[in-house]
Amino acid sequence: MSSSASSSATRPSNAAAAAPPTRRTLPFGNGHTPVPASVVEIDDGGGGLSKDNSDDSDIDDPDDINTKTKRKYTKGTAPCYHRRFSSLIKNRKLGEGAYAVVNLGHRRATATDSAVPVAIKKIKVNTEFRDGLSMDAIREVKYLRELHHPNIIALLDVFSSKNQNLCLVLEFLDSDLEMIIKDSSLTLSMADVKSWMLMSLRGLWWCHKAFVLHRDIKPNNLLLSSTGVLKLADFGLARSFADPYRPMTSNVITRWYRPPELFYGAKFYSSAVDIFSLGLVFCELMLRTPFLPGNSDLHQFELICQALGTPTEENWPGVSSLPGYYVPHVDNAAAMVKERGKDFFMNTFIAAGESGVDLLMKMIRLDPRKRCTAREALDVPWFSQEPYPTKPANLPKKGGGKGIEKVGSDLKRKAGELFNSTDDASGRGKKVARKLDFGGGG
Amino acid sequence: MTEDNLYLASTQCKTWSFGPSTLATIRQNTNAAGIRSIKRGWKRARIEASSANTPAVTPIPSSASTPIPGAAPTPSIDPTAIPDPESLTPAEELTLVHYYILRLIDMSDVFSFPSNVKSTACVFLSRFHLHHSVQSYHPKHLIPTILFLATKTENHYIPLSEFCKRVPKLTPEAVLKHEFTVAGGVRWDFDVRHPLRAAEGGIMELLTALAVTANGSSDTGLQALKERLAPNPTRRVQDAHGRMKGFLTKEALVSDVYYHYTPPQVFLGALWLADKDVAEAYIEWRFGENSTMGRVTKKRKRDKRGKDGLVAKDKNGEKEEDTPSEAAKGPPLAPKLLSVIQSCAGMMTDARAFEKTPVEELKRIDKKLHRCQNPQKFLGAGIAIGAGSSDGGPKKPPEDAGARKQVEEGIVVGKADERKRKVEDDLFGGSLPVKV
Ligand SMILES: Nc1ncnc2c1ncn2[C@@H]1O[C@H](COP(=O)(O)OP(=O)(O)OP(=O)(O)O)[C@@H](O)[C@H]1O
Ligand SMILES: [Mg+2]
Repeated sequence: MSSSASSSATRPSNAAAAAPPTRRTLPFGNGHTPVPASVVEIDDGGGGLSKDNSDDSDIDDPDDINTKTKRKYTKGTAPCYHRRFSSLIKNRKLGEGAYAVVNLGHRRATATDSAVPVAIKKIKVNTEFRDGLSMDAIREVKYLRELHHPNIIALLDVFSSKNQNLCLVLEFLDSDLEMIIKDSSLTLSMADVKSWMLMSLRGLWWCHKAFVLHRDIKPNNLLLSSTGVLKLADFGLARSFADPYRPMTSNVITRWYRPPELFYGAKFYSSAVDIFSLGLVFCELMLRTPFLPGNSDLHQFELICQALGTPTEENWPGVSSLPGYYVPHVDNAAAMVKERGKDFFMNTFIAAGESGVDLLMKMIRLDPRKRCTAREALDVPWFSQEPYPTKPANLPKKGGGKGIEKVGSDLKRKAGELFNSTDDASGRGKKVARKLDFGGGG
Repeated sequence: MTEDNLYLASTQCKTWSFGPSTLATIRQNTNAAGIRSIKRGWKRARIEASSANTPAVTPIPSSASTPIPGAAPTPSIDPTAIPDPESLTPAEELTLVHYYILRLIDMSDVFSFPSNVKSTACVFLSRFHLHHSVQSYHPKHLIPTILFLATKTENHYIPLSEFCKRVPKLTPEAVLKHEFTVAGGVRWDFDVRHPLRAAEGGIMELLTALAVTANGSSDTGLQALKERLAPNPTRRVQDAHGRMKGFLTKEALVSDVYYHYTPPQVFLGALWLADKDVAEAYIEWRFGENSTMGRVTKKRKRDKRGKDGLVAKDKNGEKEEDTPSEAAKGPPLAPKLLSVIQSCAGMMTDARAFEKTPVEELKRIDKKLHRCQNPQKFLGAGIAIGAGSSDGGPKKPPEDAGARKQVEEGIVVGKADERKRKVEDDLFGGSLPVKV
């Protein structure tokens, strides 16, 4: 072997042998930067960083960039926000999902900028997955780095913590749609529902335009800012669908919001899966309870068939050739449900008005090819009819903190009452064609 | 917002596109940062060496007694008498990076990974070293990690244990050790836009159009295209297609075209290299004087094919947008586009030189690098400073030195080139037969 840089590796490796048996045995990266405790503890004030040589810090070094990024943020709330986050001062946890814990933090004040609250999403170390960065984390980072839209959560920074946990710094968002739906002290008007649908569809339209499927649309992944703006979050299951010939896993989307084609094991599906999920969120906003809360996959599918109809070649050409095609109660012709028509949905969702029901039906068609696209949904008359979508700042807030007092006949309506309303929401309002701004500059 | 604007919003366009002079400046700065870190490493090693040499009665067991083959420190070395090593020039750094991109291609081919995995891995390596000197991070230690990361970002994940089985002596620990370094080094920008998608769309469009003309068409542009590619236009396009793919999965990856051109431009550049006539006929048909078809149906096509908008960047890295709709109003886009395509093609042709870099030259550069990164060997200090150790910036603590052993030889040899590579392998840590 001729001499090479590698020969120095023949040095005794006692140190390496003694390294702890965790999957990554060294501090972030290669461990050549001895990380001072004050930096590791992102809690710390950030002082006391002692380096033997100030010009050691080299922008050339990814570890240094990581250190710098990490030092921009700290856990907990900045003093100036103590009032707003009084309930969170002790326990900073904002939420926990299947693969991450989300904590409150803030970006430290600098000479020019004041402190800003942020959410720090720390990816859990999964003991099952020992192959480094998890696919969820990779997907979330990959897509959030590319997608910039007012209705998509902003990824501010990425760094790794002392334990080699990946941390995503996200813009801080006050609450999510699930909290709103469950908060029985709140009254949701159709204008509010319309506003949330509009913002969700804008976010989704942008994703789909960039050939990204979200694949986990549900109320608790639709987050709300303090100014009422809705943002799509949790891109851990997202993927690109730009290549139509690559099969995809059908094991995605939380059960209650999963479309029928995925129960049939379709490997080539489209953005219509997200539209279906969002359609069910639409129902839930009106009902204030999940529309199809199945307690098993089988049960879920039965609920879909009952509520929407039984998939057949007639209403969904080609369905019988999907790998997992089956029909519940196939022996019992009476139990077969025809795809539901407008009457059925008008009965249940009268408050949405005729044009609202039209939109809903287009979103939850059995045959994915018959569902509307996000773009088409944004163009339906419902959004430009009275009652107009509530301005984000005026939307109901978690804990009853209503933005500005609203006026209108629907103000007093209580949760659950909504879809029985006889209010004039059936689309007879003036058809004012308003130009909709979908955000994202287009 | 159009598809063009979608590309303009991508990290590839926003943070990884530069004019040639900007790119050169960045590399210059990176090289300078690498040199600084080497200097620091040597400075520290000198201090270590002189303090270790003073009480040179009994060597300190942990480090000073390290047996270093071929370069065992003798007590007589005077650390202050040895000059700082000669550092690498930006050009030499680039030569090494290109060499390792070729190795990455070989490695990917061992696994038969699809071209998007291969291409992304190469772009990762190139981007990493745009901001991180090879003097601080030796590419040979990073390429297994980069390839594995690319399988994940391209949604082509294979279990790490399986991945390691295919590369002799590669361990999971060695791969994961550098994962954060690499991910942070490419700024967490995992989405890389490749020309291959635009290419497949363009070729499909050509073949479809030719099938239509076969049945007679009134489109004069198409007719002209067909005549130019006579006698068998379809065959000609198919042949060009195959060769074009070759350029897209090699020359395009080794050269700097990803930094300077948009994916559709790279596609056309590669097509031009594959068959000048096909490329020129295509450009004339779609963007030329008679591009009736391009003008009439451009809206539909832009939606269908996506990224076929053409964003030309001038020398200063400024972007200038030429959308076909503008072309329909103004003069045809073809002449300007053709010159952009030709310079893109030229850049890819130049990249072939890298494959022919003489072994002696690579050897010479690596030797220089070796000296830079291992001051302890030349000064007699016990501390590995090493950048040599893979990752190591000169700040690397000594305990890391042993661990690098695992990764340093994670280099795979493509079967075809095996014999040729064997020679070269010796200079980069021994050759590795491929297990299949
Ligand atoms: N930016 C944020 N600001 C405030 N709270 C947040 C933020 N992001 C997430 N949360 C809270 O943390 C919870 C979990 O976050 P998230 O859905 O991103 O994690 P997950 O592990 O992907 O969850 P899931 O189980 O849905 O896959 C959310 O439901 C929300 O309540
Ligand atoms: Mg979630």
